[in-house]
Amino acid sequence: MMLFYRKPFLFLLLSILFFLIASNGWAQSKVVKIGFIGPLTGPNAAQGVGARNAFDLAIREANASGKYPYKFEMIALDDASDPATGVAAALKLVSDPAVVAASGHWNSPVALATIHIFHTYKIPFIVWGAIHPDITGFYKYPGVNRVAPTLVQENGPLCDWVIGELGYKSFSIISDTSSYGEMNLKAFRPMAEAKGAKILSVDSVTVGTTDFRPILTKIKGHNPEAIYFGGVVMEGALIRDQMEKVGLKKLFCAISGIKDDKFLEVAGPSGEGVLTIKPGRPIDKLEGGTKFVKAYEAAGYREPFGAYGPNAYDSAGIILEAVSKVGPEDKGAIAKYIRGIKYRGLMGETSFDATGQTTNVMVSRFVGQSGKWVAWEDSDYAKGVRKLPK
Amino acid sequence: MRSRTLGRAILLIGVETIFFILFAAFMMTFDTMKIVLFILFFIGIGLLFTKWDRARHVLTNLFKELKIFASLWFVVLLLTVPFVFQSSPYLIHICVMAGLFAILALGLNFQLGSTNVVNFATAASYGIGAYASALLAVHFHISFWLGLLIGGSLASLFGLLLGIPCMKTKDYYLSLVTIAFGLIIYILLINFTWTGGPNGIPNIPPPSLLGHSFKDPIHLLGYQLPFQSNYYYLIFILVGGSLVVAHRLHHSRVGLTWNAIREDEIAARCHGIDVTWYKILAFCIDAFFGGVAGTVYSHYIGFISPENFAFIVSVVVVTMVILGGMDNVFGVIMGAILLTILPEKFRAFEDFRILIYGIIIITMLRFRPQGLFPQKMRIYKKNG
Amino acid sequence: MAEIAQQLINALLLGCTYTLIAIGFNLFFGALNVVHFSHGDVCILGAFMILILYGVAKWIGAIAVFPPFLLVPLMILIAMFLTGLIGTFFERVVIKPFRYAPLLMVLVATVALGMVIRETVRLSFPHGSNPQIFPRILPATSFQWHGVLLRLDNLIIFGTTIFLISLMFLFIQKTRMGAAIRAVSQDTEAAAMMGINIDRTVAMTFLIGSALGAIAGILIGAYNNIIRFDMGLMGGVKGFSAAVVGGLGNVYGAIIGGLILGLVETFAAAFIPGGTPYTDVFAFLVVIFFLIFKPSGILGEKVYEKV
Repeated sequence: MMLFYRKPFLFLLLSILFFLIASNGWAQSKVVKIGFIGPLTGPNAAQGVGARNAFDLAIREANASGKYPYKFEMIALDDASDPATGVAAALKLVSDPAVVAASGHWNSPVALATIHIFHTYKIPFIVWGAIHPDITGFYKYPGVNRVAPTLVQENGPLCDWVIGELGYKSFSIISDTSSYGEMNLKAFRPMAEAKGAKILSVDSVTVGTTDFRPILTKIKGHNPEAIYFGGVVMEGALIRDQMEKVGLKKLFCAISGIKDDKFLEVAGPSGEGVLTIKPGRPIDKLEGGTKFVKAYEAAGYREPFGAYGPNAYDSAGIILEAVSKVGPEDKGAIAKYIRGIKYRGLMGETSFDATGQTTNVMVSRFVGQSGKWVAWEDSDYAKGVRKLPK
Repeated sequence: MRSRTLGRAILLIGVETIFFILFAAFMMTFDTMKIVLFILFFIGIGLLFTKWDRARHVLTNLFKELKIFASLWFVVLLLTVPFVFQSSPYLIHICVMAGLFAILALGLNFQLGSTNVVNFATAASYGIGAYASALLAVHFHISFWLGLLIGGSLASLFGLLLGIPCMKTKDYYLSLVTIAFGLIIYILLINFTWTGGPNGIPNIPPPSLLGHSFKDPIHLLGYQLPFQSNYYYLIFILVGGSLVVAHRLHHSRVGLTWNAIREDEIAARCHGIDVTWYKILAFCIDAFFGGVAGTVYSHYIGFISPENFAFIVSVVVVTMVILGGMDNVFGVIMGAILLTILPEKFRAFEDFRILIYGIIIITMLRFRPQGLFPQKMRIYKKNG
Repeated sequence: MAEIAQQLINALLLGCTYTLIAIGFNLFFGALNVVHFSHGDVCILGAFMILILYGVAKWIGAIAVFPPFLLVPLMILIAMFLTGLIGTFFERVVIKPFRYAPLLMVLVATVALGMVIRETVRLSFPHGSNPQIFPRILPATSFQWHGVLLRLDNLIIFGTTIFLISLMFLFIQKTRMGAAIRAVSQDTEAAAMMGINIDRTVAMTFLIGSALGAIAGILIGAYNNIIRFDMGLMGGVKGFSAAVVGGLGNVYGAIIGGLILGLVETFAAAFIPGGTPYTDVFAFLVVIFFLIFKPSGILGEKVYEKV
């Protein structure tokens, strides 16, 4: 400690440090960089990390294939599900002249904050996970496209199924107050009423709430045939579980926000007979799905690729194809190419409409059965072996 | 004699410029290893400075004698920041954010530093300013400049409201009230539909001045500066203004009164100080600063949502004040700058950021409660 | 009618957890005149202890061997003890050094400690930001009674709370250590002069308070089936609020305060249209109302400041 405080020693230390810093400059290698932003930390890290890995896989495969004259490099940045952090990350990307295009975001508020930056700096941007309709439908930026279906695109098939085919006629709606929940409420309610269903009550809950017994007890008084939930995994699972606990034994249905193994894990036995849908088809039924799974495992990623892995994989593919066709210099041309693309990828054929929204909407139906999500067609419920609550 | 002054001035310019270049080089470093080296370098300089009495003596005297000149040159250097970071809007963005937090921290300093009132509702006044001006701009097309005043005043009004319970309560109870208020504002922002709920408010128009929109780059002396530079200069003026206000307040009767309340509330009351009134005043001024910062933030980013104004933001500002040095205006600004730049530099450790904040607070309180830059004793000169 | 009864049960259970947290606040305030702002986080730590213990029990195969009615109480006891120890440790490290420092220091330090606890928990569990599934340690049997659904797990939660609170009262009223705690909370200096070991008594207070808090955390976990790293923030603020409403420093006040908060929240959610997202706002408004008009709480004594 004494030595550390000596003046000459400090001088020596300082000069060594200075030379270390000054040496080997700030050289940058010449590669084509593609940005990725997602929630790599924080509550949605599982989604973000999985997507990042899938994105990385696509770029590694492109580099390994030798088909491209450049070397691609992924710049993965964290938005921590926070708009301010996301904006800083986006600015970091657009500040780097080597970045030709980017893909990002699972959280809609973050995407809504950053797309303006990508638009201002003319960096082509593909949203891989955020599902707020406004991201494409309202702003219609020419450089911003999205490979994920909006939640409005998911509610239609759910209504067809639950009301049209299964014949449930009265609903209580619970939605969370997030943009996701609110949009679901706005999308589901008129669709359901148009199909002749009655909405008996509408309640909204804050994300992060854990005790839903007061509302569920109240809903029990309305005696609906089914509960529609507009929200995501955790609240959904808790509501489902607590429905049983207050003796509300009714059908529970929701769109893809709850389609996660975690839902069944948290809901436990009460996850039985829960109906949900998910965009796209199960990974093993996708063209190239098994190949993707194998490559993903071989690449040695520790985390599962999650629900949005295929989206990120395809958005990387779209960017790679665009860059290889029009070159990395002209970003406007890349954006133009992407808007007009017909891309055959993991999720089938993706193309974008005039607002940049994907037209590739396929949904699969699932039901919770013995602790697993089972495709409706293969389930005991469709075969009549088990019965849904009515 | 004159040549001696000239020589000193050149020395001063040299010292400040070298530090500025070091700072700029640090900002442009992205390699974690190098960042660490840089920080060690800075710490080394700091240590050297504390150990090497003669150098310290010379430099402090230099700064004291040529005080005005030193600050003028410092201002000039700061004004060149957008030119230096011209190719990287990201770095200017960090500087803007550092400035915003400096305003927040300066505001909180009136309470936490000067008066010893712990306020955990900074995020709330920040949010109120941001939402008020954003809503006004989006729905009623009220200009940013008016919004700045309205945002600040509304936040100030909130400060008054928050100050009311402090007539009856103090210490823990008052902190509970501020925490509760902060949480209430957050919950309301999330749940009200007219504030956009959790979706927030998108598309907040940028301010414009004399026909120049802040969204456009600045063309100056043949340089094109990225649009963030507009905000950089705006923030520069605002921080400067806040600094002057804070400095004047500190050296006025009000600042002295606050300090008296901090040292001993009962004694202050016995001396005829209206403790409640001065505390409410601190609440209002703090909230005004918060409101102004919030307004700038909302128009700068163009999008706000409740997450920007969560409880943790308040704690971050508290950390800045404690790290920098309670009641020391310069220290508080340094605290804000350090705690804005360092997390950006160590993005890889983003996950540990809040944990580190917590550890910083506890360690500082325990071992160096006066902060990195302690407030000096008030010195009164006999004038004449 | 049945619905109101059902809602009352909901309120009662919520009140139980608040009460258990509030008791800790009251004990600490009594003994040290300190508000331990991270107490909520210590409580949630208790629930995470169960998570760890459950994992360990599963790993060594104890779950398959021992029946749950033996294993679960054992795990809860261990979790209580460990959390109590951690609570006393925090007192030593973060609260004691500030005993003679300005009050602001300990206040900010405990808030920061809460942050440290939350983040440590978040970082040390896989996907720690997300809610963790709490093991189903309570039986799920339920039965109907005049249209009201009664569940065995709720009865256990309620019974445990009453049992523990009574036990604590007995301890404080009848034992030597309890007498010491009461003496210290009345007048620390006088107690020291009577030969009471202040440090030990304070440590004991934190042991008891934190252990009871652990139960609160475990009950929250068992009641909701999940546990999340940041529940302690809200839990702590609510617990402190309950203590304030009942009268800070008065252990009986915790019960009243906890029940009031539970009732306000449940009935705001159930009977105010669209009130569900605002339950916390109503709870806080009640607290602020108390702070303005009756700062000493329902059972608290009026405090006069002396120079």
